[in-house]
Amino acid sequence: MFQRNAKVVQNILIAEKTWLLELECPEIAQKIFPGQFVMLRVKETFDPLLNRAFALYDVCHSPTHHYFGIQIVYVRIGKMTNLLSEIQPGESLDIIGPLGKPFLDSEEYSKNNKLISSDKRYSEIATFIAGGIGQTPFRSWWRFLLGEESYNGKSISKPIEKIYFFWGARAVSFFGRLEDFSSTKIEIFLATEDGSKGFRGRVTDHFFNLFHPQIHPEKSPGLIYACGPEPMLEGLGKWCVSHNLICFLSLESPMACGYGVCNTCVVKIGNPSLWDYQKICVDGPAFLANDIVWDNQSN
Amino acid sequence: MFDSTNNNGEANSIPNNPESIDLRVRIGSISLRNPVLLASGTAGYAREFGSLMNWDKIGGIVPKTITVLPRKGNPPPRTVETPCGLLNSIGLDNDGIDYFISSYLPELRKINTAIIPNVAGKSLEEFGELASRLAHEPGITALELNLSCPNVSGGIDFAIDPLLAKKIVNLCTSKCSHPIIAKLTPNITDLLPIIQSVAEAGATAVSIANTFLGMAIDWRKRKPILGNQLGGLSGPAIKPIVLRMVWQMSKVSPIPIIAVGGIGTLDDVMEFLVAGASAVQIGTANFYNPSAATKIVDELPKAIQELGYSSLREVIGVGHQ
Ligand SMILES: Cc1cc2nc3c(=O)[nH]c(=O)nc-3n(C[C@H](O)[C@H](O)[C@H](O)COP(=O)(O)OP(=O)(O)OC[C@H]3O[C@@H](n4cnc5c(N)ncnc54)[C@H](O)[C@@H]3O)c2cc1C
Ligand SMILES: Cc1cc2nc3c(=O)[nH]c(=O)nc-3n(C[C@H](O)[C@H](O)[C@H](O)COP(=O)(O)O)c2cc1C
Ligand code: FES
Repeated sequence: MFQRNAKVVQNILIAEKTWLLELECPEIAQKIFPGQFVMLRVKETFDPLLNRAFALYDVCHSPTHHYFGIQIVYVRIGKMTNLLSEIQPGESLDIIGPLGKPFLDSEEYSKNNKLISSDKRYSEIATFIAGGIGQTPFRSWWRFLLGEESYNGKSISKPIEKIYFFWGARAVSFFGRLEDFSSTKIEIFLATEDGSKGFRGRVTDHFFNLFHPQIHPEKSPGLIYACGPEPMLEGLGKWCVSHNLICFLSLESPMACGYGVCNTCVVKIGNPSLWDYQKICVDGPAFLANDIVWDNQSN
Repeated sequence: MFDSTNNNGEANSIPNNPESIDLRVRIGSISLRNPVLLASGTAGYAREFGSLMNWDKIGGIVPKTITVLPRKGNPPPRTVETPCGLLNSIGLDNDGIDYFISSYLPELRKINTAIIPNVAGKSLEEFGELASRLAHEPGITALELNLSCPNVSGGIDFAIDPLLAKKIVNLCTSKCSHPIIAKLTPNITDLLPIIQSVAEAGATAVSIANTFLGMAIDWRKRKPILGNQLGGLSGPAIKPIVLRMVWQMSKVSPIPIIAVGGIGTLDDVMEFLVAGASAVQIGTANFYNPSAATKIVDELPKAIQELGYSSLREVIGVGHQ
């Protein structure tokens, strides 16, 4: 974990209300892994008071420095992101990171879960499901899984074969940098609420239609990773659990600190009769859908 | 870099280099290398900071409140940001005294700074039990009693009842020889009766203050935002109010005051020292700037020098002279 002042390299509009921000922070870039996040603060301002969490989009290299910075992608929605969208190259931001736990690939996951180690589907296929700005953690994750980039000194021992990438947004104008997800091994499925591109409706419904185990028993999504608004994750998580699919949900929550001291960001982990609060910023942000106790299931 | 542990500045001559400024403070029988502490509930049990904190620099840490039994705490959302402030209703989420003693305390002892555990009981007896459990634990500089957590539903706010507060402090001082600090609530019109009664009962100092009761509402959803509905307000928004309390109380309090509330910069600390605080605790600022406390310690000598003093002690309460 480092707290640094990071110089803004670029801050560009890439889609409706969506920006890509590149920061110079070599120490964090060298240590961060897909699934982790950073906390950002704009200048010495008291309003917004707290730092905000942003997922690693990707690391970047310069001709002189390997791992010289990181990229994040954000949507302008409130106090902090309004300020962020105005920031110019050359200005600097406070950054803390890397934070949270890295995503687990099938090899890491099977260390504690023998069931899947012999099942090739999990080591060959992965599915990403993103809602809104939830695509952000998946750019670096696909590049790791397909063996294109190493993070924190690690590269995948055996790259996977196929990624299904589902992404849902309000309208086509919100899909920024689709080219950042282009690879011969990635199949992209888009969904929009207004039907301006791809499937009209919810991205999870799009996924359920195409991967329903009873309708398409021959099709496996492999390990599923999802990120998006909580109602989407709850619906998807419950569906995956009921169909015996292994699904990691990258959760969001208000975060006052991001590094484990404030006890803000808790989620119930366990089962409805025996659960404990865990911290999303330290024990997550990604959790197995099976382990999450959704509030309306308990009490 | 200034090294506060290696300090031999004497208080009688005005030094011309900041490195000889004496930052040490005494709060009754408590000696600290400098007055900058981390407030309970905003610094975990130290381990969470990883490499984000230089423990050799700061005056001490007050770890998160410990209760007799583990508590899960309140349902989320547990915090909400308000203009220049933070509302929280964490609800004393903690692992209980057994776990604190077996797991957190041994780790806390390894860091090179003063350790001031903070405890909260649901009753007089529970406070007594917590004080006895910690009485013989080595490596503890003082014990802070959280008389004032607004988040424990059904719990009594002991810091609004001078008699009860006195009984608690009496019991704790009889069970435990560590100096006792009483942490008070600001949700009360006059702090003096409480301060007087805890002082009579043998408290070494008071911490002023815990958070201010408040709330936030999402009108579109027609309901409060916090899972617990009500919460405690902290951060820069409350600083002027706490500063006023410390100013008023330091003139009349029989025991030293540790200021807590919206402190996050050198200016804040200097203002509270001038107002009469003997030490300060950094709370919410740790969240958005974990190096706030160490930065302040680095900057203190120059500010003290600017006032023409050679020791921090000379600044305390200078506003009243
Ligand atoms: C682990 C983690 C990773 C994150 N990664 C990203 C990322 O990669 N890109 C990104 O843009 N954001 C990300 N976020 C969200 C981000 O931290 C901020 O919450 C968000 O940018 C809004 O901050 P703000 O100050 O602009 O809005 P605020 O002023 O705090 O909020 C404005 C309004 O929007 C609502 N709001 C805030 N956040 C959300 C949300 N996520 N969904 C719906 N409503 C919301 C608030 O309740 C409020 O009503 C992440 C959050 C977490 C916890
Ligand atoms: C998230 C949060 C948790 C807190 N938990 C505790 C606690 O467990 N015990 C306690 O005595 N005070 C607790 N406090 C109060 C702080 O120690 C401090 O008194 C208060 O926040 C005012 O200082 P500040 O404005 O610098 O934060 C908590 C404050 C916050 C913001
Ligand atoms: S955000 Fe503070 S503990 Fe997770």
